[in-house]
Amino acid sequence: MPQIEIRLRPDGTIEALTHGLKGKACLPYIETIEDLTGAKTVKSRYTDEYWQRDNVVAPPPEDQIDIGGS
Amino acid sequence: MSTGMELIPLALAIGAAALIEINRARAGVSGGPSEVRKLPTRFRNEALLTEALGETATERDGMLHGVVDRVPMAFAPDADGNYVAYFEAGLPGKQAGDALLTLDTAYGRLVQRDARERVLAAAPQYGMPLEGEHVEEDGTIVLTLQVGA
Repeated sequence: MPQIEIRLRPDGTIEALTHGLKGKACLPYIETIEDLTGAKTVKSRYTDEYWQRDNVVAPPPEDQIDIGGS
Repeated sequence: MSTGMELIPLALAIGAAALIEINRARAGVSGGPSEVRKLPTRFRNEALLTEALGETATERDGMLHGVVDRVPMAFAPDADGNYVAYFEAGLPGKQAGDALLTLDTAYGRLVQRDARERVLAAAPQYGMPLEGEHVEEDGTIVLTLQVGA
């Protein structure tokens, strides 16, 4: 069963990882995770499972979107 | 996994600028001749800041006052809602930075506690029951939620 792993660091920052959600299935959960944690996304990346659909050609590894901040 | 996200709670300022400035003060770099009068912080939530200051917290002259490691300090938010820490004249930068870092650690723990409580309370409403929880060696709390349960 798909999972969301939420890592709450002692400095207050948060990391969230989705597991078992392939392709765009993970995208709706980004907003849900923000609502759940009361936090804003400052950086996100798609990882291997995201590209496991429709024979999409993956971009360079760990396609990363830096929204700002640290 | 399919996506990874870094998030900053609303109670924290985005970016590392405040911590960089605090560490500069600890090294005696900023604020002129090894003393500082004010430093930026990551704090954005007055209730959590008050709790982090504990019994020393008082409010007067429109500012939140407290004492950390015997260092008196006062706080007021800037235009962006980020709290600025003010110190007495003549305080060495290292002393101010060390005390503020101690407070930052306490504040971070409170933000972590609140985030945990928020996730545990809200997850069932999103149909995502808690599957597991553990604490890692560095104090990171890991919550695993089921999706589509």
